[in-house]
Amino acid sequence: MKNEILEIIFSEFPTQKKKITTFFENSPGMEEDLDIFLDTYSNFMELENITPKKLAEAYIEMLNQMIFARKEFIYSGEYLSKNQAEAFDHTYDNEEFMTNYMIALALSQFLWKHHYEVFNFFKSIISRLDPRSSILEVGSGHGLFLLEILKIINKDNTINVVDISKSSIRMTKNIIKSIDENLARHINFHLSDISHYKTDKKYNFITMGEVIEHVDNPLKILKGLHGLLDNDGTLFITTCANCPTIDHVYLFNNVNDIRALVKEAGFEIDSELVTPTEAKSDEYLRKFKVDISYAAVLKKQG
Amino acid sequence: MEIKDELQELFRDILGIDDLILEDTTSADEIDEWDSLAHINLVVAIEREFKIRFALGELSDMKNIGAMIGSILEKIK
Repeated sequence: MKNEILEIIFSEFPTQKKKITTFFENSPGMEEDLDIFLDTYSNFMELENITPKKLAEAYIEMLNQMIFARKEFIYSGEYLSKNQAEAFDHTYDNEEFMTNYMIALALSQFLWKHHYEVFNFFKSIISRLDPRSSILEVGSGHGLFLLEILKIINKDNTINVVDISKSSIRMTKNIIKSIDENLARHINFHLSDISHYKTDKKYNFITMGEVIEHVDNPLKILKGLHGLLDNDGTLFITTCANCPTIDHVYLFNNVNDIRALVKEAGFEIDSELVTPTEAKSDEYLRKFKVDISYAAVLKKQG
Repeated sequence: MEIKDELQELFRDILGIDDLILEDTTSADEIDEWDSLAHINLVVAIEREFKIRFALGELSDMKNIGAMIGSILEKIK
């Protein structure tokens, strides 16, 4: 399956061939992990009637959307979506679009070095998590991060998942079902905007991947999560700076903007990962506003 | 000047290759400097040079010079 998918992508995008081949040469584990991922993902693909060709085409479609968003960003210096309502209408509420987008993003975890590094950083963090932890995931998306959490929690533990997209929840349920139907017992899904999620519960661990760049008011979201977190709890976030896509709303101009925001929300940064999409100098990254992925482990300020 | 000649000038400038010669089949496979970042810069340069703007959905066929010329012709006709 891997060769079929890569052949389709590379024939449409010779630039991807160069990039991904180089990544695989420099990070041998990445290609092995891609093999493992596709092997695991194949059952989910069957459940969702996704062929390898469809997966490759979804990835190509996402690339074309990103090229469009990036070139418009060069002209305007702004993201395409003016607000989250607009992004919701054309993305999260559009089942076909969202399905293609999520499967493409899932594949990108193992084709894009910066996504791969963020995923590995996440896995390293949760490997140290107490299996009895009370856990909240905000934005399950393609479900891959949740699957990693399920590997470490106790059999009688339950995770709460809040996601604004019906399609994401459907796909996450299916990916879990494709691994082991019994795993679904461990998860409560809430179809909701996180800012509307009300609970008396406090969590030991909250994870929110690639959400705050999709909302009008990320500070409000972070402050809300501050209130949901135990005093000793951990918030794990991922986001990005200068990363135009068709559904990004809130522009972080650099990593310092992100750091400042989390501090304003009442967090301190325990550890972080900064990974640009291109291996260029800091000056180049700044001058050409190259996409930078960011992940951080946050604790409440003492 | 023919579109291919204009593209060649543009590619030489953006990619920094003074003696670059483009054929219809030339793709990023043959040119090291034509990477993902350069590809987007090339698209923007093409838009500015030919005074066109590709919409979402019109960027899907840019895998080689021949395809790019086709996309440009579609926009300027």
